Amino acid sequence: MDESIDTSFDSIVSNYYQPLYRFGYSLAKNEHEAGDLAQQTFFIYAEKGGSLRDKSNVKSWLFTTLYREFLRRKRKNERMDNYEPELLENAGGSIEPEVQSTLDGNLAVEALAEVDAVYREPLSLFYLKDLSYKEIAEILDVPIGTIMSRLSRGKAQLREIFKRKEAETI
Amino acid sequence: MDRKEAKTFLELCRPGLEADYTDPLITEALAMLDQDPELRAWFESEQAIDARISDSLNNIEPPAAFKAETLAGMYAHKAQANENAPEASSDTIQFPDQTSTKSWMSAFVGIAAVFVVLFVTVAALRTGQETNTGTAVATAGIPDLVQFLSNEMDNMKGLDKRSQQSGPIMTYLASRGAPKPDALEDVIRDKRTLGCVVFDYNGAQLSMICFKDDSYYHIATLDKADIREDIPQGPSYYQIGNQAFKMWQDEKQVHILTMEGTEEDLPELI
Repeated sequence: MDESIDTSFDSIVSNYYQPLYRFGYSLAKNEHEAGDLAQQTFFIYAEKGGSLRDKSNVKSWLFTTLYREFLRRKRKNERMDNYEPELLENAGGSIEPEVQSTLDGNLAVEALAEVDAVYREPLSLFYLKDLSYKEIAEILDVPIGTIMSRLSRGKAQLREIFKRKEAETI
Repeated sequence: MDRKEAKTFLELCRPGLEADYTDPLITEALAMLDQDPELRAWFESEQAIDARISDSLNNIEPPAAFKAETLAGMYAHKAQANENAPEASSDTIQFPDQTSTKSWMSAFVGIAAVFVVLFVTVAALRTGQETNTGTAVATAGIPDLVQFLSNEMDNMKGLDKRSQQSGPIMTYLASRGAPKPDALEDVIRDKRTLGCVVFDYNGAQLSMICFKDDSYYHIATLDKADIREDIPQGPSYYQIGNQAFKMWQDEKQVHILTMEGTEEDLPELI
């Protein structure tokens, strides 16, 4: 364990608020939900982070917590589908038009949304470049070999979609 | 290593990320670029588009105030966690805002919280509920009725009756002999509903109507005669996970308004 790691709130937020927000955005595909997911992650850390034994794992812990929070909310939204069929479309992450027009990153997010679902999270984490393959595997709770093969197949899809979208915007 | 294998490893190199280049197999694949111009051209093309995708994703910026708000929220959560840690009884129950905040209020809140815990404990003993230590700590201060509703909402499979208008729902509840929020009938008449569901609460019917406004919220109703615990006379607020609850009672019924969020998010219905 690296004793020199600064785990003060200020340091943690400064280091990770942008990557966590971006990961949240790539998952939820809207600004509001991305902010909510990232903040909820930090709030959970504020309450429970003290019990984190290996402080060098803070980054992985934060990403894992955000991802689990996203999955929890997604399951809840899917239950809402039982209330009313069209709700899933609303809850499932359509891209907000106003965000689409204001964020450069949305081209990648839009492209990711068209990739087969199983490849999306590995690809998001891959292109965000904050984590090693081992960390990505741990966060998504998938063997590293599976991550590698999903990345390989997913990248082929994403590149084609991204190039098409780039051409459309010119 | 042939070209196909080399491509497999080279695909894993993220532009500008040195850590990806340290694997011996990737190092070997990179060395092949000097001897294979076609492979190099392919690699450079792949790196170029990978860089554009990555830049696009990493250009997403949080709102300007996001960092400061997050930090402030963390300190607030930390403070609340510390404040609540010693007394399990006070970490979930919150009383509604009053017009004044006299010093006697804090004493009243403390006494009321103790009473609520005592009532819950007595009710649990009276109804023969088994509460191990963990459960007692986790649910201290939360009335059994609220906890029951939270559990049922987590596990519910769907609605018993669907309708976007409250009229048919009230009719349905009446036909089942289930409680309907009579005192709120005028308030909810024009609200857009999703439907309703009836739960079995210790042999009594607990009805819940689901609404869709700017957000989703629900009103659960139980006849007071079916309550087996003492509950606060005035409105009381509870938080279980991300779900906020407001419970109040009128002459004949107990109502619980709930939605995902916090006490501040709950709509003003009464």
